[in-house]
Amino acid sequence: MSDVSRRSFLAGAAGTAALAGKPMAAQTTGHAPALRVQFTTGSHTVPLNQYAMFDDALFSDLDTWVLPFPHPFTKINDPGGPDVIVMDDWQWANGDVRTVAWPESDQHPFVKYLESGKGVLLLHHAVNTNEQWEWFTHEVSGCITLLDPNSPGKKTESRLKQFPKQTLTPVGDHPILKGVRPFVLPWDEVYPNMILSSRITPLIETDDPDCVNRVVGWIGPYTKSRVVCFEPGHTDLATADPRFLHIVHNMILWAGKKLG
Amino acid sequence: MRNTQQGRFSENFSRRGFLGAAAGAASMATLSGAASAQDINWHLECRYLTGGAPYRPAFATMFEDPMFVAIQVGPADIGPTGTVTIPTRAGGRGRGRGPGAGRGAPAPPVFQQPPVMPPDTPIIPSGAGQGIGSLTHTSVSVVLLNDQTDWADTSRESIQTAFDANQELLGVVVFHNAVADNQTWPLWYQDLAGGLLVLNDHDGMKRSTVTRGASYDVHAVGNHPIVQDIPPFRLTGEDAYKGMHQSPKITPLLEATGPATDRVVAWVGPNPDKARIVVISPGTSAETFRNPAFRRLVRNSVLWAGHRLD
Repeated sequence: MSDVSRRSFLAGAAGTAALAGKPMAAQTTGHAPALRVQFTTGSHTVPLNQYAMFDDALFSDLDTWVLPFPHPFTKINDPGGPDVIVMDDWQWANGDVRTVAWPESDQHPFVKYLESGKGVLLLHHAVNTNEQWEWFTHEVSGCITLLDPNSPGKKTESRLKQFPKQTLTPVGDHPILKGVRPFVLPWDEVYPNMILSSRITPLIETDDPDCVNRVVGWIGPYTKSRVVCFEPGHTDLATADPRFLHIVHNMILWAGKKLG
Repeated sequence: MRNTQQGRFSENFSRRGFLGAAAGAASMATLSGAASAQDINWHLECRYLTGGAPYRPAFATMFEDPMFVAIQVGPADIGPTGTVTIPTRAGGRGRGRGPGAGRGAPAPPVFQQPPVMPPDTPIIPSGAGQGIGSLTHTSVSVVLLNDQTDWADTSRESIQTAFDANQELLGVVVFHNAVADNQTWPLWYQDLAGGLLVLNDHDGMKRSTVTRGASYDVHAVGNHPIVQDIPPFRLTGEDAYKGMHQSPKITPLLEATGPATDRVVAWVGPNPDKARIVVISPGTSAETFRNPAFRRLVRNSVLWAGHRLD
């Protein structure tokens, strides 16, 4: 059995065990959840395990619902709205290499939500969302991708690279990194040509040699609320890895001010 | 066992894990009309589409149950201005609110050519063919709908054309939220799905009621292959729909008892020769998605919609 199959097996077994003796989500147990979490996707595929990870026992302290586009932010500022929004969307328009901006009708409630101090996790594809909304890339994600073929420093032709095995290493002593040690993430996807704002706080680095910037996990530059970004998360294997889940869970808790 | 499996099914094998695949194959072998475990060399390529209404992550977890081992499910969600998949979607307003309702828009290329995969890696959802706008695409067998949107006119027109030409559409399983899809498209709710959760009074239909957190018993009816091995079960913490529009031509699969719910809560659409469409109206609570009988109902529905159960 290969290394990956073994991991898959272990993850599957763990998942089965979790399902059998599941500490159910807060809405069914009566326990007050630590946080209310909205997971929003849209316009691109997301591995099944990324949805399912919120059903993992590790996430049972969260009350999570999935609400993809269109119009996922209509109620986020209402009572009972989310404490943390986890995004993994990727919005394209034919003929443009940059991801499109969310409609203004979605931007306005999202900005209001951020200004209220509530948290956001930009996961995988979403670190590249809203490339045509400059305020978002400069002030929220702190990330842009070199898309011009003549951009200085660009290392690869493509926006993305599939499917490297990469060693992820924590950087610094941020509360999110509690219990995180260097580990090899199963085959996933990286964005080699991303450059990050000088105002971000690095959390996790990759050893992938094709990356212009080795930072793949970081705190965004936004100051009124907690925004955290994590680039991995493209395959079922990566999103089933318990070390991936641990980082994502910590990021959600931190974004929701339940950690640090 | 692995040596008997071919192509992408073997990739599926690694994604679910060894034990899962073994258990799943054993489960499949018990299916009426299904091949023995040694002969399973097929899989159903499915897309599930969501957007416009919330749902629990347990919906996705359900498809990782070993009983779905030969059913390859890839999520593909709808974008802010619509589109994506089966049929290209309108920038609909979900439950009928918000600006921009009813607009159509171009679809992002969510279905791309399969990437070159290293051996023994999982299939990722984006790896399957081109778009399915007309519900006649060949790379996907079954579409699982849990969205709540009004589809774009372009999609409606292409489906109407295929329907009028007696071209069989893709199999579809309609879940919970999606029972309210296409409020203003009679072909969908009369001839294809055969039912509609009516969100607002229109076209002579009264608004349906939705009772949250309901508990009710359900039992299979008839002798359709989908329900041959479905025991009675109880739903808790579930939405109960009452006053749905239902075509007299549907084939009931599941009936419920209780004052808050319609009697028929799962059915086959009116034109199975043109479109194998199964509608399952419960599906909001995590308990429902974890219920083995419900999972079996879903599994059977997907297999039947994909011509793997007759």
